[in-house]
Amino acid sequence: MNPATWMMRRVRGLLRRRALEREMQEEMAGHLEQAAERFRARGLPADQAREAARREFGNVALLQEEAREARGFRWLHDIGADLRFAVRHFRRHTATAVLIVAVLALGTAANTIIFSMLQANFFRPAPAVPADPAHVRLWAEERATPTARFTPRGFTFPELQALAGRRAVFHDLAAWTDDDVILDAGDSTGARSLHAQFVTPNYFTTLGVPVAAGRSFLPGTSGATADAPELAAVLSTPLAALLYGTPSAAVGRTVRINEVTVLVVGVAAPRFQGAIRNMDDAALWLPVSARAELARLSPSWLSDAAVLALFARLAPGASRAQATALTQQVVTATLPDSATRVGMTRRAEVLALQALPPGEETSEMALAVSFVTLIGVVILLVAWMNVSSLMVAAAVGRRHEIAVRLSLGASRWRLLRQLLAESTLLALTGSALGLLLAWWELSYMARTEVEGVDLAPDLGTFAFVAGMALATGILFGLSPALHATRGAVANALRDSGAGAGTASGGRARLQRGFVVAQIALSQPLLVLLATMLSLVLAGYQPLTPAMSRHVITADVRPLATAGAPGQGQEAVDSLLRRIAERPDVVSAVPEARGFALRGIVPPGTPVQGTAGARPTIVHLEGAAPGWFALLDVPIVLGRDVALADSLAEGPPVVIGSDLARALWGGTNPVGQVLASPPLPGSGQDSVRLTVVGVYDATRPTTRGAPSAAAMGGTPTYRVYTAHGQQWRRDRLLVRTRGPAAPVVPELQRFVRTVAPSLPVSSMLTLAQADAEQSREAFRVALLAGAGGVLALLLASLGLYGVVSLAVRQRTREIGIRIAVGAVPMAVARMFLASGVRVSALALLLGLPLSIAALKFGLAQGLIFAIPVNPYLIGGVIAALQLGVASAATWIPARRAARVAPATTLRVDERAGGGVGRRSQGEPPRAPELAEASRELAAANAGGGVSRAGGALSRAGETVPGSGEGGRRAAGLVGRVAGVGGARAVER
Amino acid sequence: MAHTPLALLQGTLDLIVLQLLRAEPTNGYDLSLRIQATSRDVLQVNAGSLYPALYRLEERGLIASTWQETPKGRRAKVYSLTPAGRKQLAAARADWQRFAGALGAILGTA
Repeated sequence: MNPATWMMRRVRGLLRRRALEREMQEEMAGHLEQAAERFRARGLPADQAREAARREFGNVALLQEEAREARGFRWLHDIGADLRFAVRHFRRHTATAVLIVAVLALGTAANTIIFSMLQANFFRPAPAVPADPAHVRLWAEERATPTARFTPRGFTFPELQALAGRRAVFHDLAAWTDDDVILDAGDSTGARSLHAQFVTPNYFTTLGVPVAAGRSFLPGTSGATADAPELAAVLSTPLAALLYGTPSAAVGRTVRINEVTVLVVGVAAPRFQGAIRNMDDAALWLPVSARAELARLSPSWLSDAAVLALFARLAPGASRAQATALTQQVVTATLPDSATRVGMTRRAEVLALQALPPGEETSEMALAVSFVTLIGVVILLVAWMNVSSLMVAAAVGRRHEIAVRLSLGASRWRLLRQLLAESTLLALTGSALGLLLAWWELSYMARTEVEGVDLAPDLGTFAFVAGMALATGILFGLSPALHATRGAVANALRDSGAGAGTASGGRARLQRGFVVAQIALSQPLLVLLATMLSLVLAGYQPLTPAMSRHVITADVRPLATAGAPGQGQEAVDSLLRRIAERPDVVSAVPEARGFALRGIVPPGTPVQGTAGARPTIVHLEGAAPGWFALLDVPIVLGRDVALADSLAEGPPVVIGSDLARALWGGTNPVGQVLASPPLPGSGQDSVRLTVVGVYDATRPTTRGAPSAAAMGGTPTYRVYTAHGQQWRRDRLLVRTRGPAAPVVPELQRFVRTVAPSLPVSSMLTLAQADAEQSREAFRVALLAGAGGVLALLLASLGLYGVVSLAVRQRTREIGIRIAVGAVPMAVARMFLASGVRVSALALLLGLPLSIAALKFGLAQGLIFAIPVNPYLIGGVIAALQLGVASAATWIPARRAARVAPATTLRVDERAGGGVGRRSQGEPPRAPELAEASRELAAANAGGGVSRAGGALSRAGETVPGSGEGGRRAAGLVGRVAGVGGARAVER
Repeated sequence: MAHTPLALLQGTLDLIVLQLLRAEPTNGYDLSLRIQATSRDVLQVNAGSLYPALYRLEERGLIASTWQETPKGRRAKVYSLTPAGRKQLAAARADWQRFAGALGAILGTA
C-alpha cells in the first residue's frame, strides 16, 4: 500500500473512529448472540448458552483492544489517556502549570514577533509584488580613487538602454527614481505633498503587479523608453480611495501635480507601494519622461544624472552571475576617460530583488539581523531552561508517585510518555497562547506602526514557531522526565529526598549557574532600557499650558525643487505675512532649527595651544526675529535676533541666561565675543560669536528642555542666531489671540485660499502636538518596559525553579529540622537567603556588564547621553531585580516552612517498614536510629557528611532554631521516633 | 495420547480468512464456524480472534465489508475479498506451498 493511501485510511479511520467502534460492538454482540442461539439449540439453558458462547469467543475486552489496535487506534487511546491524566495533574498543580505556560507564552510571543519582523523586513517581497525568483535588482557602486570607499551609485538612462538591449540576459528591465511631488486634486482638501516614483513604462508589467482599475503606462517603442509622450499618473489604491472614493472612480480624472495637469490612467493593485520594501511608500507613479517637466529640470537630466534604480526579470536560462558580468561591463564602459585616469572604479552586482545592497551597511545589517535572531533563540532557550528546571522540581516532588507506578509494573517508557505528554501539553498551551499574543501585537503593529513592510501575521512563521516550540518542548521535557524515572525504585520509595539529592546535585548546580547568568545578563539589558527610558522621559518636556494652547504649529511642504530653489521660501514667507495680518493672530514665525554643534572656549583663555581648556559645547540654532516673543520667552538683556544679523560677520547670537551665568557669572555678557574653534573632525571654520542678547533659559521652548542640568546631566546650552537664516522652512508657529484650537480649521481654510499650491501636512495646537508626543513617549516607554519586564520575569522564574528544586530535594531535612525545634519561618528565611545570595552574586557579576552596556549604547548611538547618574540607575535596577528575585524565592521558601515533620517522617516509615507501627509494640531498630542520629550529628557538627552536610551546616549558623536543636540532637533521637510514632498513632 | 489442538501459526489466520472469503462473501460468525468445520477442529481458534484479523485485513485493503441483512433478518457485516486481497492470497499460497514443501522434505528425510 502506498503511503498516501495508508495516510488516507488512517485519517478516515480517525474521523470514523466512533462509528467503527460502534460497528465493532454491534458485530461482536451479534456474534455472541448467534453463538448462544446455537448452544441453546443444542439444549443448553439460556444463561449457560451465553456463558458457552463467551468462552468460545474469548476475552471480549482484550479482543476489542486488539481489534482497536488492528485499526490503529491504540496509540490514540493512549495519547488521550496520557493527556487526560496530564490535565488532571495540572489541575491539581495550577500554580506551576500557569507559571510554565506563562513563561512559554512570553518566550514564544517574543520569538514570533522577532521572526515575523525579520521575515517581513528581509525575506518577503514588497506588498502586492509576486514572489518571482527571476526578479533581480541591479546595484552599482563607485569610488573616486583607489583608496576611497565605495559609495552606492544609481544608473543613468544610457546605461539602462544599453542593458535593456541585452534581451538574452534581461527579459525585462525597468527603472524608477523617487521624488516628492505636490498634488492638487482640485477639491476642498487642498494640495498635499506625496511621495512619487518616476518609472519606466514597463515598471508594472516587469514586476507583474496588476492594476486595480484603468491601465498602467503605455509601453513605448522599446521596453524602456524615455519618450512616452503621455503625462499620466497611476495612483495607489489608498490615494485613489482618499480622493475619489473608489479606484475606478479615479480613472480618467485630471489632477494638478507640481502645477502641471496630469491624467490619472490607472490605480495600482491594493497594498502596492513600490517594487521594494521601503519606508516611504509611493503614493503615485508617473512616467520617468515626465519628470523634467514636473520637476522643472533641464531635459537632459535623464542622460546626465545617475539616479535610476534598476530592476529586471531575468531571461529564462540567464543566471545572476551573467547579469552581474554584463552590468559590470556596462557601468565600466560608461566611465569617462578623465575619471579612469585618476583611478575611479565602479563595480556592479545583480542580486535578488529584495536583497540588501552589497557593502558595509549590509554587513552591519546582517550582523544586526543575526543578533536579533540570536536574541530570539536565546529567549526561547532561556524560557525552556527555566521551564525545564520548574519541571525537574515538580518531578522530584513526584518521585514517590513515579516510584509507586514503576513498582506496580508500569514500564519506564510508559511513564516517560506520560511525562512527555505533560510537557507537550504545556508546550502546546504555552505556544498557542504565545502565538495569540504575538498575533495580537503584530496586527496592532501592522495597523499603527510600521509602514512599507508587510507585517500581517504569516501562517508560515506561525507554523515554524509553533513547530519549534513543540520540538523544544519535547526536547526539554525529556530531560526532567528521564531524570524523574531514573534510579532504583526502592531508593525512591524509601526516601523522597535522598536519591534526588545525590542524583541531581550536578543538575542543581548547573541550574544555579544558569540562573546567575540570566540575572547577570538581564541587568545590563535593564540598565540600558532604563537609561533609554529616562532619556525619552527627559526629552519630553511639557510646555507651559498657557502658551501651548495659544500656539498653532503647521507643517508645510513648499515646492523646493532643484529647478526653483527660491520659490518655496518665498511662498512660505508670503504666507507667514498673510497669516500675521489676520485679526485672530498675534504673530507668525518660522520654527527655529538647530543647525550646528560648536565648541566655545571660555572668555579669557587663549584660543590656541591650550590642552587644558575644554570647549563648552553649545547648540547653534537658527531663529527668526519674533520667535522668542511668540513663545513668551523674555529677552532679559540686550536684544532679540534681527534680520539684519543675517549677513553680519561673526554671527551675532542671543545666549541663554544659563550660559551667561556659567561663563560670566553676574557681569553683563552683551557685547562679549566668544571664540569658537572648530570641533575636532568637524571640518568647521573657526568663528567668533558676538553676544547681542540674553534670553531667559528657565522658560520652556519648542526646542527642548529648559535646562538639562536639572536632570543631573551636562546642561544643553542653546545659542540662537538669525545669521544665515537657518530657521525651518517647513514648519510655522502661529500665536493666536484667543485659544488656538478653534482657529485651526479656519487657518487651514485660509492657507488653502491664500496659497493653494502649498501643501499643509499637519496643523495642530502645541498642546495637541504635546499630547501626541507624550503618547509616543509613553508607547516607547511601554515597549521598552515590556522587554525589561520579560527579561526580569524570565530570570525570576529561573530562580523560582532553582529554589523550588532545593526545597523539594530537602523536604526530609526540613522536616527533621522542624521536628528538632527549628522555627518554620527561620527555615523559610534560610532558603530565602540562599536565593538572595544567588541573585546578589549575579548582580555583582552583572555590574561590569552594565557599565559595558552603557558604553556600548553610547558608542552605538542607542543612547545619546546618560541623563541621570548611571550609578543611580544601576542601583535602582539592582534593587528592583533583588526585590523581584526575593519575591520569586519567597514563594517556594514559604513552602519549605509549611513542611509538616510528620509528612517527611511518614515517608521514612513506609521505607523502613513502619517506624510508627512498630513503635506501638517494639522499640525502633538500631540501624534506623543510627541513621537518624548520624544525620542530626552532621547537623550539629557542621561536617560535610553525606546529603545533610553542607547545607545543614550553613544553616546551623544562620538558623537559630536548628543550632539549638542541634545541640540537643543527641538526646532527641528517641523523641524523633516518638513524634513519628505519635503522629502515626493519631492517624 | 489424544491429539491436542495445534496453536495457530503466526500469520496463518489471515491466510485462512482470505482463503475462505475467496469462495464467497461471508459474515464474521459464519466465518468462525467455517474455520472450525473445515479445519476439522484441529486448529484451535478463539472465535473472537477472528475480528482483530478481519479489521487488520480491512485496514490493509485486502478485504472490504458491507452491512447486510441475513436471511434470518439479522443485520450482519459481510466481508468480501478485494482484488488486492486476491493477489495477496495467491502470493501467500505460493509462499506457503514452498514452505510446506521444504518442511515436508526436511521432515520426510529426518
